[in-house]
Amino acid sequence: MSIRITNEEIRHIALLARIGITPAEIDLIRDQMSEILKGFDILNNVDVEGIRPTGHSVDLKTVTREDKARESQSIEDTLLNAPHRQNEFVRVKPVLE
Amino acid sequence: MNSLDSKELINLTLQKAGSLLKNREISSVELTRAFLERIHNVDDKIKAFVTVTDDVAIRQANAADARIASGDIKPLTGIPMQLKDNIITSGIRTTCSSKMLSGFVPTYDSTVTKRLYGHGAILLGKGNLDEFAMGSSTEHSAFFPTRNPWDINRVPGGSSGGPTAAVAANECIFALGSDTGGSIRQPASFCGIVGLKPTYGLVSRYGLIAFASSLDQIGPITKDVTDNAIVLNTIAGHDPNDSTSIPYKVPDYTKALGKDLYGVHIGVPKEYFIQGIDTGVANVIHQSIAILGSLGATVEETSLEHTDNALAVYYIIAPSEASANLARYDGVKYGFSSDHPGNMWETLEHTRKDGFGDEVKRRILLGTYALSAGYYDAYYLKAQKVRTLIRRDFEKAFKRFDALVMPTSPSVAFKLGEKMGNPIQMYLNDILTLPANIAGIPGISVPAGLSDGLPVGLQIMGKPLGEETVIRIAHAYEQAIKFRGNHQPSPI
Repeated sequence: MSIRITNEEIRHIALLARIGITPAEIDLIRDQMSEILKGFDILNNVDVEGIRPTGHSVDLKTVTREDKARESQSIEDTLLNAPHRQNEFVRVKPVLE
Repeated sequence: MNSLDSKELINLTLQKAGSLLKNREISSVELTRAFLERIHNVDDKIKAFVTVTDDVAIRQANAADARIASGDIKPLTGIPMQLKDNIITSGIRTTCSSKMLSGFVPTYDSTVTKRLYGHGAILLGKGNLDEFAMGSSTEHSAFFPTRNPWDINRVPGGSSGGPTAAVAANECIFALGSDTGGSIRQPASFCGIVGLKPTYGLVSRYGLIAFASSLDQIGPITKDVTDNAIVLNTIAGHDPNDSTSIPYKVPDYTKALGKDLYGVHIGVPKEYFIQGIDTGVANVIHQSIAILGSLGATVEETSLEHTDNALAVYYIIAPSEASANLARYDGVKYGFSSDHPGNMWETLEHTRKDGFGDEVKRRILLGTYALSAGYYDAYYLKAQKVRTLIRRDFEKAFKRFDALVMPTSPSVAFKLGEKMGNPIQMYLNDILTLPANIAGIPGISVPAGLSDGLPVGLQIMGKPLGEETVIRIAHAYEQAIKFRGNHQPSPI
């Protein structure tokens, strides 16, 4: 199998995606991704000169609504699923150390 | 007043159950109890449910009976349903079949849930899926795989395998699934039932946990086409909470039922009869096409020339959107949080490493790669441009044809474990369904026959907002072959 992507690139993407990967997993991830990327080569043969990209299948216009205050979710509901909380706050580890 | 036993009750279609409820020949409570009993008897074999909501169901059924007694009845009042577990339900655990959300209890209802509750539908529970709807077999559920009621050694398809297996095994009357690349239609095909992916924007996505926002769409999973039209009537329509929902006056889809096919022009795109398609599947579909002709339709071969590129386009766009959507799972606001003792960044990496399964991580990494500096133009932008070409193929075809027909899946249900080690083999399952998501058009899978004793689905794709035509063709075909009358899974 041709390798499309290096272990170093896998580590870089994993860092961007903030997904921890172990050294034991990395070869398998690299091989599977290389194989999947190989399947994308088919697009190299498609001429897209002058073709505009489609982001959504429905032609969307910016949707606006009246800027009017509405009732929003209570603090208690908002924090209901937070894994760590303190009083009316979500508790997180220090961002700047 | 009860003249039906529980076995007969669970076998009812929505339409039939609705008319019995309306005539007060059965009550919603007895109907609901029959389904709960069925779930408790068979679901340890099928595993279609992540959560069963007995108490909620009985409470809702009592309310429905009171409502019916007061003369206020709608087509779904008192009807027991299952919702795929990526459709959020206030106060009821909604997991996406992921460890990441295994304890997540939403504090509001999705728009579709609200509409169904508003009509008096009864929630029996939440349906299993491939984690975050990423998969084609429901084996990627973090909890357990679901099994196909036609053969419990086989997969039900996916990602809406829980909802389709539940409907096929008579564990609910209907269900809602979601379809990003075929996740309603392919499992409906594998389970011998009817599944519709509506036009993108016809049904609100508010409260559907996002996988790929430009492709995701909620749709009905039912025992027959009539039931599908009834459920679609309830869930379709504009929602100010979903800025991609189409302001559209929704017709009564049941008016499309019971018509012949004279004057209907149907195209058969030759690219959908690809190498690698099972001979048994191809044979059944060729017979179906002949039947459509005998019902009055004009059937003609056609070509959608960019079909070959659809798989690559999909597996660039869907993971790219997923990588952005799933960035929100950080173990801070909700969801699983690692107790790793490291700093914030290390803990975040551990939360996402341990909270997501392999397929989800694979797609996040793939999407992150396709969107990363230096690769964006080559992958994501290129895929979006080819997406335009695929849309144009359909636009061109729909100038000549009212609908297109093809198989839903290249194969019948495969064995558990058969494709788990090979992601690309698994991705190929979606090859005939995902073009409809890329183009945003409706597609239905309707049972067409059996191959080796397992169901084969006929897929019908229509113009944007062409659900009436799709339903009309599906219903005429269903009436002609009477699949459900002739074939059902062996008793479980």
